[in-house]
Amino acid sequence: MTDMTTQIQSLPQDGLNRGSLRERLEEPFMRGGQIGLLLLLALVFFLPVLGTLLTAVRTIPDITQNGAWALPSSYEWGNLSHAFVEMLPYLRASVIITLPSVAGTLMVSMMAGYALSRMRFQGRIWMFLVIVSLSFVPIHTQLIPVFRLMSDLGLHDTFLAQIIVHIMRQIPFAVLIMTNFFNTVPGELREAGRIDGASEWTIFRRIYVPVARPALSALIVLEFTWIWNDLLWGLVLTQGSGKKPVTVGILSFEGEYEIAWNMVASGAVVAAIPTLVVFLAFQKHFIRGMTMGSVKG
Amino acid sequence: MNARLTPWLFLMPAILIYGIFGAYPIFQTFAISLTNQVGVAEPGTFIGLQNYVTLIEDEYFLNSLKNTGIWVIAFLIVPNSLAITIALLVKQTFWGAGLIKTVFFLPLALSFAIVGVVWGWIYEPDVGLLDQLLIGLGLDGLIVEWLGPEAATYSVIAAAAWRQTAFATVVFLAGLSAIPQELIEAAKVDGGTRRQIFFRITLPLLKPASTIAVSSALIHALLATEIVLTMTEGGPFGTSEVVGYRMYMETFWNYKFGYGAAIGVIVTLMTATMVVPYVRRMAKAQERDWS
Repeated sequence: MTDMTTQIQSLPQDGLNRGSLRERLEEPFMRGGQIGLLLLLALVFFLPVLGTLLTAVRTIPDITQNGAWALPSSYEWGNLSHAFVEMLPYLRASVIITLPSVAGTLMVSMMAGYALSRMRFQGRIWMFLVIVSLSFVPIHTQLIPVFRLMSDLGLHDTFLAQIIVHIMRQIPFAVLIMTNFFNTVPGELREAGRIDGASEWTIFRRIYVPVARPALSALIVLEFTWIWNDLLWGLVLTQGSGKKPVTVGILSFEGEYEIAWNMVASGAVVAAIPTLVVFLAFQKHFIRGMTMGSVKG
Repeated sequence: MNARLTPWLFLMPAILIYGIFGAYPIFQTFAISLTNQVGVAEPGTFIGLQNYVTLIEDEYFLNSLKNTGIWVIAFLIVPNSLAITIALLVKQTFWGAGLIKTVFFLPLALSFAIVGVVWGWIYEPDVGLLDQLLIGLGLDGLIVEWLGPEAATYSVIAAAAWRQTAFATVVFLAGLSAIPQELIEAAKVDGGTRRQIFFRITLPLLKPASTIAVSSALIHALLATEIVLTMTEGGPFGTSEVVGYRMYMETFWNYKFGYGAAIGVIVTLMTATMVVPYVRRMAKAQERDWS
């Protein structure tokens, strides 16, 4: 009923808006086709995730007898809990590495972004250019000397080495995001603080840090995911299993179980859960962060 | 506080940390690439450009260079065209758009390590998810040895493209949302056809989004290391190696630090040439903002 009325009301407008007669006739088919195509793409896109989840909760005989896509003949939740117990040291290491790295990145980049965005000084545009360029520096040009430096400093196979390196790697991107964000904050805030005689540090701490909350939440979600997901530094800078992050853990897990694909899938699920939860809970922040001038992914 | 010093005080932590652990190593890599250093214990002797000369004739390196070329071409085309299609379709759907978006964005939360492990299972011969799916659909004829010497590179690219498409979809959706709807409406009133509107309005206005999506694809294709490492370890017989992976292997597997550094330098130079246009655009925009 309501559909009818809206249709009738919008009819004359439609006649004006909708282009040629041919297009108007094609419209319903186009819509149907579009929706069909979108659903098909979504299904194909989701299949790897679905297949992994199915595999994780089955037994090997069940997979070989009934095929990988059949519904599990019995749900083996024990696979997941077993994988979790085995992954625990790696998960712990990832938490110990990731949280301080994110916090450090935020502090350092907020200060730098504030200076770049809000202060006029010689070499400012150059500094900005250098930072933009550095966000593209491949890890490959830093791996060897950093590995050597950390060995020389006696920091090889420590959490600290990984934390420092992650902060270093994330600085360019995070500074870029903070600079762009502070650019959008009205300058009057700072002027007001100045008139009141507040120092630059006080203005930063009391006015700009609280104002930056939306940018910070986006940055936290992104940095958490990226640092948590790193593999190469974790491989290069560690030796003992206690210091290896979960990305390295999943590889040794894979080596250990080889063709026990249900366990490998369980391991993958367990290893992916932290970033998945963060992503699903803060999807909006994540997406906003990515579109705030990002080139990573 | 001294007014001229203040900005640098705020920048100091970032400059110190990046300087010591990021910038200094970059120069060191260049220096190490001119030596024959083996392992970390002692520095090698200076051998000039010998490493680079050796590289030109190194079959493994040349093969990895060829594969990186394939990666770049495939990555420019596949994820970006898929993503632009998905973004346009999602934009026109009103129901369930949130859920569908989540499905397309999901791979972004997964590490390359996990993507590599999971897709390794997908490509497993006979019992793997892909072969089982094709058998189920009656398409057995399409089955090849996905991670065999012929197909491995393309299979790894497909897995990586799955993740890259997610990123590009985010970027293109944001780009589409930034296009004022009135513009499209106005074009419709003026009798513009769907195709005209797409090619003359939508596509040109997606240029900023495209720049981001394209540079991201370029960089990920040039640097692809982790996913090759976790899916094929460059195999079988080195057929799916890429330059980034070669660098890692020469350095941390064969302990040829000097040689590995030379590959690192080449990777860096390739990246540098690719991102110049992007950096230039950022600089221009910022200068406008600040002046």
